[in-house]
Amino acid sequence: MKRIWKLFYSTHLAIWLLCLASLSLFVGSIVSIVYEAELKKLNFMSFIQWIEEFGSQPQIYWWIGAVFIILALLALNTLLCTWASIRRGQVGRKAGSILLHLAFLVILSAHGISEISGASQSVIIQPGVTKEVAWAGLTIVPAKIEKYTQQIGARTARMGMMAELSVHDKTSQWKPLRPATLKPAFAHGLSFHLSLFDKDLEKSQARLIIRRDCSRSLFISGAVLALAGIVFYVPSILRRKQYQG
Amino acid sequence: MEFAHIQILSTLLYCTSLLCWLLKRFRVVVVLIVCGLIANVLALAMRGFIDSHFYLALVAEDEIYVLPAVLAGIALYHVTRRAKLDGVFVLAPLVLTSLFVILSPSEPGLPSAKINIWVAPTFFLIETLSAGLIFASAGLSLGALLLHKGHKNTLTDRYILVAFVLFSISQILGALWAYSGWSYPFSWSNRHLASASVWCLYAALIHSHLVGMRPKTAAIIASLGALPMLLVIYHHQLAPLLLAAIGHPS
Repeated sequence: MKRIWKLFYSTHLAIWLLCLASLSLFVGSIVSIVYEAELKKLNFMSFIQWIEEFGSQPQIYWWIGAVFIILALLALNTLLCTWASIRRGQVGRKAGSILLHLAFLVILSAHGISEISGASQSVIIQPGVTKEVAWAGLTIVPAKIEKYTQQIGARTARMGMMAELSVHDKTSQWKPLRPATLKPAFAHGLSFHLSLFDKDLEKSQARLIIRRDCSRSLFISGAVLALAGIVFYVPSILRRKQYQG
Repeated sequence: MEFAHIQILSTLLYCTSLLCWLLKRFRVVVVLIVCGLIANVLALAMRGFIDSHFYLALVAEDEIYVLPAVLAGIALYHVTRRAKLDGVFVLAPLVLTSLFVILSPSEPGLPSAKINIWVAPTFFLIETLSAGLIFASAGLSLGALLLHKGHKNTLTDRYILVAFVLFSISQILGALWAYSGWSYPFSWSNRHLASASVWCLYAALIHSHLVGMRPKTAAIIASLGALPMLLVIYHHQLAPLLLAAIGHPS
C-alpha cells in the first residue's frame, strides 16, 4: 500500500502519464478528423447528453475514456507532488513551479466542470421575432441586427456584426444586451455570443449562441495563475546547469 | 513583382543555403539565410497589404506562410552560434516548410472581425513561434539520434523550454479567443486535440531532467513532438489527405 502511495508522489509517473495523455490525445485528433461532425457536437452538449446520443458508437469515443482516466490520475499525481513541495517548505524557492501546477489543476477542473455541467444552444435571431430558450427559461427579443462589410476590390469582406436585444428570465426585469462578433455579452449567469458563421442566413438574421458555464471564472483564475507561474518559473529554470552553455 | 514570386525566391535561397551547408560553406549559408529571410518577410508584408491598408492580423493568421520565416530566424541564430554538423537539422525543416508554401499556395484571406481584437493575431504569432522552435528541436533531436550522439545539446534544451513556455501562453490566448468567438475555450476538433497532445508531450520533456531521463529517450520524445505539431499547423492540408487515404466519403 505504501509503495502504491509512493508511486503517486513520483515524477516518473507524471512523465509516463503525460506521454500517455499525449498519445491518446494524438489518436483522438486523428479520430476527430474522421468523426468531425459527431465530436463537434460535444462543444455544445454536456458529455452526459452526448454519450446518450453516441453511446452505441464506441469507435468515436473510446479514446476519450482513456484521456479522462489518464488526466484524472495526472491531476491526483500533480496534487500530491504540489502538496509535498508545499509541506517541505519550498514555496519560496519553487513558487513558479507550484503556481504552474496549481494552474494546471484549476484549468483541468474547469474543463471537467464545463464538460459535465455546461450547456449551450445556438438560435437564429431576427429583429421583431421573439425566441424562447426553454432550458435557460429565457425570452429573447431582438431589436436590431447590424452587419458590417468592407468592399475590397471586387470582394466583400465581412467585418462582423452587432445585435441589440432584450432578455428576460421570468424572475427578473428585462435586460438590454449588445453582443457583437468576438465581444460576448453577459446576463442572468449566461453568456451571449454572436457566431462568426452566418453565410447560410438572411441579411436580417444572426446566429446567437447562449451558454451557461459556471467554470468561466475558474478558467480565468487558472490562466492568471499560469501566467504568474511562467513569470517566476522561467528565470529560475534558466539558472540550471542544463540550460547554461 | 508579386508576393508569390518573392516567396519562390526566398525558398530558392533557403534551398541553396542547405546545399552550401552540405558543402561546408558556412559563411555563404549565413548570407543566404539572411537574404532568404528578407525576401520571406517582404513576401509576408505584401500578403498583408490589401487595398492600400496593411493588416498584421492577416499575415499572422497565415501560420503556414509565417513558419519558414520563424525557422529562418532560428536557423540563423543556430548557425551563427555553432557551425557544427547539427545545423543541417534546423535547415531541413526550414527548407521543407518553405517548399510546402510554394507547392500548396493559397490566396490571402480578406480582413474580418478578427482584425479588431489583439488576441487572435497575438495567438497566431506566438503559436507559430513555438511551432518553429518545436520543429527545430525535433530536427536537432532526430539528428542526435541519427548521428548516434545519444544526447541533446544545450541549445536544443533551450529551444524546448522556450517552445513550451510560448506554446502554453498561446494556448491561454487561444482559449480566450475561442471563448469570445465560439463560446467554448476548448473545441473537440483535430486542431485543439493535437495542441493538447503537443502540450502534454513537451510538459513531459520539461519534467525529464528531474528524474535524470536517458538523453536518448528524451531525444525520441522531442522528435515525436513534431507529429502532433504538424497536425496543428497543417490540419487543413493533412485532414483531407488522411480522409482520402482511408477512403472516407467526405
